[in-house]
Amino acid sequence: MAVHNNSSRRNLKRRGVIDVQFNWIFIMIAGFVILLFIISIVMNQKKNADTQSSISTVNQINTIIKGRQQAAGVYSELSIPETTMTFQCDPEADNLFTFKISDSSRTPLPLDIIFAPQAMTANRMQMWSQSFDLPFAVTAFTYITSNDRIILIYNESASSDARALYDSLPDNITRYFVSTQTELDRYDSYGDRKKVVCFNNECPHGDYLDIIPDSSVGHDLFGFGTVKFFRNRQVSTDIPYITKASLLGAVFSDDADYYKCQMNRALDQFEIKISLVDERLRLFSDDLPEGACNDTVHSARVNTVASLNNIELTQDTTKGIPLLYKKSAEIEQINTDLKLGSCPKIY
Amino acid sequence: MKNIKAQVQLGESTAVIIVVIILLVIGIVFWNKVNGSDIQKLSSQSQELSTIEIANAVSELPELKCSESGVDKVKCLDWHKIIAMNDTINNPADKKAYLFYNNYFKNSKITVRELYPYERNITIYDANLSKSTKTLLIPIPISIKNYITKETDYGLIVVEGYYTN
Repeated sequence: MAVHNNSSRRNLKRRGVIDVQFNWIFIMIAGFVILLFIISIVMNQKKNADTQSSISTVNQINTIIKGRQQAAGVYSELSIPETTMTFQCDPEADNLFTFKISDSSRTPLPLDIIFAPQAMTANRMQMWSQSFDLPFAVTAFTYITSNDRIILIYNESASSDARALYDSLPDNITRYFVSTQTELDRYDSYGDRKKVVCFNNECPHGDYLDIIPDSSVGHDLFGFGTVKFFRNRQVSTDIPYITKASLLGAVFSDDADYYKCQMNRALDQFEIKISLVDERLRLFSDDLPEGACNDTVHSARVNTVASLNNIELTQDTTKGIPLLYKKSAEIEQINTDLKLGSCPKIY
Repeated sequence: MKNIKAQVQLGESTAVIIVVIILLVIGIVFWNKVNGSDIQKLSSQSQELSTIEIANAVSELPELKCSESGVDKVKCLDWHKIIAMNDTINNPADKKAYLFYNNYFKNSKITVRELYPYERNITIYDANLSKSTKTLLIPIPISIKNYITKETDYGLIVVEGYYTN
């Protein structure tokens, strides 16, 4: 009996030990699960806050860019948490243009034409826009830079082009004239954050943008011409520009392919807009009574707009740009004539 | 007797585990629901905002606006520009313009509703989404100028934004 009692007491003691151990293991597991749950909530909240902050920055930039489209010629600044923005225009993907902030997903911008450095880390963005008119409004170009970037206008021979370019930029964008290589070397500390612009092959060493305005129809910097990007000891092919908005696009871009891609997107939009103008002139021809107004409208449609409707426009060759410039000037003149003749205008 | 006590303690522990698991499951379900409703709310808010954005942009498009001596007139659309845009976007032979303006007008329907002196409707753009989707309707009063007859008519530009539930 005594033996039996001893053994059953030992059994109960063991059970008690197991029970106490089980409780501790249970508390540890439950505690660990609860801790994991709380950590997952905190991590989730942190991730959400990061996403919301990047969405809010993307939205702010998007809103400002959209505002630019409707109010060309406006300069504005935007303070954001220091972040890296990347702009990408992919000719392989039908000129798909996207931008992203830090590690957020890429936001496509199918309508906006933005000229900016392809990667830019900043906490203060400078944004400016210009209307791209040929001669009617095609779209608005947005130029983006940051307050720690500078434009150096190389002006060895004190040309009027350099002065015209300097004056065309808003005062808030930092730009200086430099006339010698030594003077230019003083800005070496800016590294990639400086853009050197020169004219007619009178260029310094290093990376630069060479602007060669066309002189065949009277010299006009903001008419049309070609630009060449010299970067990492490699020179791009001649890329055409047309109008001031397009030239400024080259000044704010840091890469030849990016500039070409954005200009091709702009020229695609021109094709849509010219078809609208053509249709409007067809309606005018139908509705206007026979007379001087109808004759001018008909002639504008047949002789000028039709040729622009079929023009092959691409930034890869300089082929179509001089014709586009010429026809654009013709439309502007016809529009003035229509206005003076109290006729409905083309645009 | 002690044997029974130990069994009760084990049962208690199991019950506690089950209760904790149930509480955790309820917590996770509640968390997901709160998150889900927030996302749904944000999504419908952003769709509404997008429609308001389109409504604001459409009456300011240079392709539609009146322009006199280079000055844009506020909330005035050019009659011939409206017709030209309608013909070009809805040209079945060339979808290029439709695809381009799809980026502007997205999932919406844009109608110019002339009210005075004539009553007529011109649907410039229609994303043609299924009727099961909800719509937000924004009418904006406008004047419509015909530069040939020199007449000014009055009406609305109606932007209907389709959005999913």
